[in-house]
Amino acid sequence: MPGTKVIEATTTISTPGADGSARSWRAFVERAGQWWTVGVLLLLVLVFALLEPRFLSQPSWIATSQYAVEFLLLGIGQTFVIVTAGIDLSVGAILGTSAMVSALSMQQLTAQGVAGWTSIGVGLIVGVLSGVAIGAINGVLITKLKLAPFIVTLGTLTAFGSGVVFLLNNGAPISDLPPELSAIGNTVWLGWLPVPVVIAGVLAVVFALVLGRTRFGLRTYAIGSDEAAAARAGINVHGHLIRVYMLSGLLAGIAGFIVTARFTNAAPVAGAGDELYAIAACVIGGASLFGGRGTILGTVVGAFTIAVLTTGLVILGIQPFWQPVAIGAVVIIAVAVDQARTRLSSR
Amino acid sequence: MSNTILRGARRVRRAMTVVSVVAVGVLLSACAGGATSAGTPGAAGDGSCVREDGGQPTFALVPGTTGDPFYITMRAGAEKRAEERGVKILYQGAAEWNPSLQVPILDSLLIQQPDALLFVPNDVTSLAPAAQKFVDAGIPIVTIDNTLEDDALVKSRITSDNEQGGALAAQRLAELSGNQGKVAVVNVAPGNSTTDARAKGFLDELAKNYPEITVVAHEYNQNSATKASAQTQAILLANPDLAGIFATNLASTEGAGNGVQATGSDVPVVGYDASPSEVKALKDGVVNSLVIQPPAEEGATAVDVACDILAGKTVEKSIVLDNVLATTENANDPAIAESFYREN
Repeated sequence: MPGTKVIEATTTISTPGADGSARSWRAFVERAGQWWTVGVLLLLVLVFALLEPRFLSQPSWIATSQYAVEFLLLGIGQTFVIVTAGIDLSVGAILGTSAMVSALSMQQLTAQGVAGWTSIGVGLIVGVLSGVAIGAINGVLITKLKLAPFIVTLGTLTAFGSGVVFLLNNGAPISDLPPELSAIGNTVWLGWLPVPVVIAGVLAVVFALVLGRTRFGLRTYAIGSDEAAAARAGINVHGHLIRVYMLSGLLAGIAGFIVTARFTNAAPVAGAGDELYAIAACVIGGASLFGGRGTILGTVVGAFTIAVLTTGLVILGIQPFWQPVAIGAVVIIAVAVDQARTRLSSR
Repeated sequence: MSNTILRGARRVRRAMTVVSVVAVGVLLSACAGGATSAGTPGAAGDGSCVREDGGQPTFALVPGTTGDPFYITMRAGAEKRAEERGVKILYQGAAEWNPSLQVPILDSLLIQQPDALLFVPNDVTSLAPAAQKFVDAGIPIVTIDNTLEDDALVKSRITSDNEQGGALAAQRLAELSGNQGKVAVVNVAPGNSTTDARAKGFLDELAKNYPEITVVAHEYNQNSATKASAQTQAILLANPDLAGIFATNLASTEGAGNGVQATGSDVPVVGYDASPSEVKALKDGVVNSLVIQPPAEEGATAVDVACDILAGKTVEKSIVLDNVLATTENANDPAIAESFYREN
């Protein structure tokens, strides 16, 4: 087994006194691989359930899963970006902007007497396309101007999240939307399946397959592992990166539409700060910010970890200031384990 | 109806900037006879408002943010009163709540030498240097809604009483719950002085007058309606016998309403403010009641106070306006409907 060889090689470098424990720790980390995050999530669920049995109930699932949708959708796109060794800080801003664009078009159409479902359909398309467009701006600036993704998306985060989103309706929320929207945002099928959760679930499966089983996914990993090698292998790196950022924008656009559908209202502040939770979901799920590694399954687990911590701690009645502390701690532990794994595989 | 009137008023205002000041001054002093007294506290003077040299006064008005229905309503209230009293309003603001965006706006308004600054500061201390320049130029400052800490900078502070609003919500929930049971607070972020004051008023009122009501949860949502909804659902799950929820702002109210609806519960939500989406939730019964601030009255009062200052009258240093409570039952009552905020 190649893995065994690596472990033996690394133990020779570790401090002699800690040899035994280091070996077993590294072996554990290596074997646990990506599955340890699933274990952490299950452990959290178990602890919450033991402390408060009502945590394992239908209303609890509805609250937690609906809350996870936003980070899950943003996290799916973010996973592709992070796998290419990039970062997209603008996802929350794209969510807010596309929600406003979508709501504006629905409002205009409704005001002109267009039927509810028609204007909703147009609103969905327009909103998602605006997300894709901002993603394209990110991708083109990153590849053609050879700017760091952090800088470009920090720029679009600021420009769209603090500027354009307020310019769209002079900063005011948009509320006179077709009432049918609420059916998309708030219907629960069979008592356990809120429509937004079903949509996010389907998209998670589709994009897990895209990342794991298609040439597009393979190229995404290849670019993240070694961009120069990928280029030498004939991959159109620039074109591919632009498409990855467009994909991130697409998912943020869908998330923006879903948030609008839940409240039948689009607010410019929607999505503000979400980028950090989306990145946290990816990182908890084992995506490496150095690129080349990350899975959609991991991100799903990461998004649910954040959501479970949020609703679980409220259900337990823990003082609210502990929630961010808990989420922050999980992120740091996740990155610590991730780096331990990186060290292993690079030696 | 009131919409068309106001649109007309704005058209006049825009025209004023084009036509020469003298001509408009004559025109408006002719109209000023029709000014109405709205009985605003602290505003002794009615009728036309003139500068010492007899010219038409110009007041700069800077909102907290330009897009918020609260400030849109405040602007409309101020402009209506300014129209009645023959005052020209210079309106400038930023789309985002950020003191560093207000500084250049204040600086550029100073160049235009207005006769008074009516101002919603985004921060109690950091805007002091920008405000000081107005004081140095002899331009009086009236703060609206929020204020500046330094007494020397401010001639008069006009606020609605956030603690009184919180107490109103407590009284309403007490009334709905028969003075007993568990309630929860869905709040925005610790350190936000406005919403903290609302929560404090709520908690103090309960502690003082309703000892049999206990507060079982006090959550913060960072102004995210989605998060407020998830928290509300979790609170309801942990406390199936909850008697009521107080939500301290727009996002909290939307989220609490959505969360209660998602769980199929009928726990009453008392929200804060009256943006169009909240009014809709109120009329639909998703939200039981709303504590409504008087932004239009705040704006109008600021104009009156500034006129009094120009006329050399002493003005009250602090003018506190009361909030009103709207319920699903009285939402269509014209007197209540008048206090709902506007989007444009």
